[in-house]
Amino acid sequence: MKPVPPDNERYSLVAIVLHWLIALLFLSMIIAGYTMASLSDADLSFKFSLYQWHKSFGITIMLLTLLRLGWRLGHSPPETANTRPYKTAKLMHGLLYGLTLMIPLAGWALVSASPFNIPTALFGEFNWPHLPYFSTLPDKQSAEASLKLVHMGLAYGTGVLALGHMAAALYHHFLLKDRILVKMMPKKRKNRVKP
Amino acid sequence: MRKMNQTACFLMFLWVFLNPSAIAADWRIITEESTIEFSGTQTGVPFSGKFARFGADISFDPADPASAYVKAEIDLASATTGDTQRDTALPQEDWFFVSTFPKATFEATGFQPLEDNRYSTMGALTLKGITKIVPLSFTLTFDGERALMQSSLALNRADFGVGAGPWAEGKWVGLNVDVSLNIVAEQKEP
Repeated sequence: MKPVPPDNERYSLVAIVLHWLIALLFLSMIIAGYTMASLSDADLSFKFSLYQWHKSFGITIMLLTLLRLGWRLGHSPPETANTRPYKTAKLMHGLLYGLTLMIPLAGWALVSASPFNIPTALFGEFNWPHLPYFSTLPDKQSAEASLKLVHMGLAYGTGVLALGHMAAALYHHFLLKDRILVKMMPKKRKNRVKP
Repeated sequence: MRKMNQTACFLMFLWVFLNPSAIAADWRIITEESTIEFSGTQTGVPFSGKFARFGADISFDPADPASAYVKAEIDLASATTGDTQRDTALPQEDWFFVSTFPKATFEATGFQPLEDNRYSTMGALTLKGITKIVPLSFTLTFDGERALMQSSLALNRADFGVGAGPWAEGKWVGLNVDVSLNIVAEQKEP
């Protein structure tokens, strides 16, 4: 019989920070994206700036996810049992990584294909280029419409997956009472002096 | 006969270059003290910008404003509005399209004196390959060898195709653009 992997491991602090930061940003982006797409043109200024913030944070998520994948290559996550549910979980995590990268990429393509050709200035400061192929499409209007559907579909699809991911974490924590969720929590400081 | 011609030429030369009224006619812009600014609205919010590079050939004799001549050139790539996004969009094809139309020009002949220090003229404004005759009224104040020209001009950007495609309507970016000119010029030395 194989030795049971040690169960007191956690994800590295960098992995934990990136996980929760990206989770928080993703949630804000879903809310902002839904809001800006359904806003009327009554307050154009607010609508416009919401789009600009959405673009800035979207690129941020993309860069953070690349950083996260890079970090993961050098830092293995805590080992888990090699049984079927854990294998499925690994697959789902891989899917979430991929989607977190795909959503901003689709958004970037959508911005690049837009007939409005609005430059992306990250947080109003740094110029972010358009994607070459998409910015020179002959029929930008229909390309934009399709990419909008792709971007939105991926985002809402990921939202559903993320709900499943959360449900699984809570199931482990409260029903199976294992340490799965704790592994993604920052370690509490030891020997904390009580006031 | 030949000698006479040479003498006449020499005298003509002296007259053209030393005649006080001829000297008084030419002006040089002091760029550091002059400004060309513009303002508009984006999603209803006002913004303003300026051109950093411009120049003009100016011939103007206060005693004979009808013979005045101005040809001004504005380097459109030098426009800034203090916003990275807007300033990135401005030189592109939908807006100034500076790679094809690097300069705007304004050319006018003859100033009509109005009351006080005010004058008016009709000039040909060329922007993005489109030329329109626009009326320009301005004030001129003289201070020794210097003159200050002040004017403001209301333009419709759609007249010049500035803002193409989905920008052609004024929904996102207002069609009205106000240009204000503060030009300091000095008489050219002989």
